[in-house]
Amino acid sequence: MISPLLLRRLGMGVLAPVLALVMAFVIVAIVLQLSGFDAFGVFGRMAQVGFLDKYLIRSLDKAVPYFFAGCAIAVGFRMALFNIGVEGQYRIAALIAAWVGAKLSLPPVLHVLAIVVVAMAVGSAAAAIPAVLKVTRNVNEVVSTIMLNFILGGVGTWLLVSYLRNTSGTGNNTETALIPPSGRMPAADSVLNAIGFQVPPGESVTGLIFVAIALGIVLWVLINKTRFGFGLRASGLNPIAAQASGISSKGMIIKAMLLSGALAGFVGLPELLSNNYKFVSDTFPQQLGFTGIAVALLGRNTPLGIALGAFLFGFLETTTGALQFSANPALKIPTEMALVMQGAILLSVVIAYELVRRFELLLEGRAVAKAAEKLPDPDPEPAGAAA
Amino acid sequence: MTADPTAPGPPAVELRGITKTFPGVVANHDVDLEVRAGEVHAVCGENGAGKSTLMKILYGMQRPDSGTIAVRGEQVKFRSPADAIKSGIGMVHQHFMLADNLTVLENVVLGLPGRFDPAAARTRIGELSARYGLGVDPDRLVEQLGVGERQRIEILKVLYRGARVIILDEPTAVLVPQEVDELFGNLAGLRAEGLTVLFISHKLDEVIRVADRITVLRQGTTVTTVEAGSVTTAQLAHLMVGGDLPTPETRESTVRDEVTLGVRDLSVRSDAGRDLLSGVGLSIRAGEVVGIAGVEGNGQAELVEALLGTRPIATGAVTLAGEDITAWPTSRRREAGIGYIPEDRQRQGLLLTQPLWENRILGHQTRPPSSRGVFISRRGARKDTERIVAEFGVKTPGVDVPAFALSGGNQQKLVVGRELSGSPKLLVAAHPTRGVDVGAQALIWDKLRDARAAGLAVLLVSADLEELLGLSDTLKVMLRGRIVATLDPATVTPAELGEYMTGVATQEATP
Repeated sequence: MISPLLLRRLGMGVLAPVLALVMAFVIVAIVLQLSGFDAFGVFGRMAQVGFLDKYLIRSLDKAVPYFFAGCAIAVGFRMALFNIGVEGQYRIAALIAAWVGAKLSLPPVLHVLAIVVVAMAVGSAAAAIPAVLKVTRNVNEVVSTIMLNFILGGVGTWLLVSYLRNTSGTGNNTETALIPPSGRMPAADSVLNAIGFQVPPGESVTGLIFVAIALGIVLWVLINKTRFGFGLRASGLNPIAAQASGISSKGMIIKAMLLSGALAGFVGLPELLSNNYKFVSDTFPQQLGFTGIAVALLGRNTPLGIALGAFLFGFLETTTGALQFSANPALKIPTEMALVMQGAILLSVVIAYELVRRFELLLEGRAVAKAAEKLPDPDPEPAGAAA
Repeated sequence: MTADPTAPGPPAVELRGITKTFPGVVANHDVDLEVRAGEVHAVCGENGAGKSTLMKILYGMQRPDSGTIAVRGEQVKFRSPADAIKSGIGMVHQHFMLADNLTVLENVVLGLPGRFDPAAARTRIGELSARYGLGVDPDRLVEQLGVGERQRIEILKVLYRGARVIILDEPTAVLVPQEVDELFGNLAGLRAEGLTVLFISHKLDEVIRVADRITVLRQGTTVTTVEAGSVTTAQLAHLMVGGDLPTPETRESTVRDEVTLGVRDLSVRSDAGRDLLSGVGLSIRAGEVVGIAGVEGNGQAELVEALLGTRPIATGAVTLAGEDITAWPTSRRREAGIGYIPEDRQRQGLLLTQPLWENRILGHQTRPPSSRGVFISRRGARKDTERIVAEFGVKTPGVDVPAFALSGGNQQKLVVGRELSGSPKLLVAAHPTRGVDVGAQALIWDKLRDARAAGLAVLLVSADLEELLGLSDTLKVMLRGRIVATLDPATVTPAELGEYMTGVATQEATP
């Protein structure tokens, strides 16, 4: 009885992403063609360069912060909590962590660990504000987190300019001091080379990729296998039933937001620990929190899905970037086209998944009703209870 | 009793042989309904009897699988409410659909096609309001209005759109008694002007008061149509429930000495400070079923929530097996052995998209076999779900199917099975057999009796008199947030019960 159900579920699992990608391809092709580019040439070229080691490695490196951001968002999404504030949370977390990291002098592993802990703590603290507002005053977290993005951004700038900036530095940039080598993350390159990748000279993948993998596994176990995860999912699926079952909605809101904020703390770490080793106000990566929303949607809030989504976004960014250098004007698409592609994929995914989900529910309902009909009436006895 | 050949003209609305099935449920089966022009016609039946589905069909929100609809003698087919409105049928929903920040006038014209002429609209609203005695001021903001006034605006909206037949879906559910009186006055006004009113309710006394004729639905089909003047509440209850009110079978009392639940001076206030529950006291001993009777909305839901700890209380104390649990959160109460069968299983008791075994965990997430330490136990939960499926005869191909795929009765059996798991001390059962088929109902009753014999204390809130009288050892009646009577189910008559439920009779306060 179960195996056909299971088979269909698997089939649907494959159908949704395929449908989404086909839709996205068609949309992007139309946009490119209308803008005067050669759509198939562009796709061909992207596929061609995208799987070259150089670009593959770059995509992988880019995917790491997207993955963290996606996970931070997904934890909230799992309980229907929209932490749009990942953007502000990761930036303030990175700023404080960069400053603390530069001040500290600790042995290598501990130093990195301390920076990670500071980033998580600051991210959590920043996320605690909307959580407390929601629990005590029923303030919608979408509104409060969006507003906090601006507030935290302003607070960060003020802290950096007034207190945290590196006054002994040269250049004109407002930035923190460099984190000493003991507080830096070794690159993943040698490990990647050992397992069959070819990291070309001049390219590098942050060692945080292994942290990301470990975090993904922990997160999956946490959400799917633990009581906490069950409470999180139950609160998201049916808050009223969850409450009646003894799952405190206020408690879950606080816990989920703190966890989401802690994960947001990781988003800026690749820049701090592997790239630039300092927080530079003008060039520190922006918008990762918003990309994370897209990645979480794309990955259906599961760690594996988020990893794939993060890689896809990295891939689009690096390959469209590569097309900049194309000699053929029909292929030389503007970098903004990467955003168009991301948008098209996102829309397609949301639509395709919803379509497939409804179709699946329909089929499943029918199948179960049919299977149940065939069962003998299992009632122990045709009890005339009321008598 | 149904068609009256002497009635002048064609009926305002005539439904014939309406059948509508949803996956796993027959909501309406061969329903006939004839509403004469210019009458107030009530459709009554228990929850789940098919009233709402029938009205949705008449209002074009759902299409019947078979059967015909005729309006003033003409066959019609409604594809949407817009078609129904064109035929002069309007509906006032139980939950108002008004924009608070707009004026009455704006709400009335909202969504109408064509150009908006405020002066003409104001005149027309004034005319309608005067003609039907609605007393509506077109320029007031809706947010300043009370519930009764809002309802009159909904009625006005429908009239403004030219309705000659007005469907009112459970209109009194949200009203206080004085407002109910006003509403009934308005309905009389509508009838006097030749309009036809279809009044959906399960409150028998109201139905008899307001209607000319009453059609009774039971389990999705028409039982009969009667003249309101010719029936009593008891007869109507009889028609709705079917069969005679049961004389509770002579059975041994399983009531033991130890008090499982003690409630003292329990009060609950609304956010606005109104008393929803005042000074409720009761105690339930092990092996005892205490039934709570009462018209819905008289504090039963608040009592249940207060016992579960999902609603803050204003005063009072609650003890479970001698321990004071007043300050305990819901989780601790559940762990201490309070089971809960919610009134609305889908909204309050299930994760519909999740497999049955995950639903088994809900409410038991901190206890074996659902969990092991901080982890949930898939294996333990699956195995115990299989036990429930077998013991309660849940019709399902397996425990991996999502809960929504089961029929209502089977979902309910799963919920009851879950809540009787893990040897609870107290079961709070709100309408445990609402909307389920007869077979499931009988099984659930049997299981509750077994659990009671094994020493379970049960608080049974129900609108089903058969259920209340058949299961309870003690019967309490709730009215306006208070317990107004304590009765012996073996000797009470439905008429007595009805009088206490409606406040006609009162009893000296019993401890």
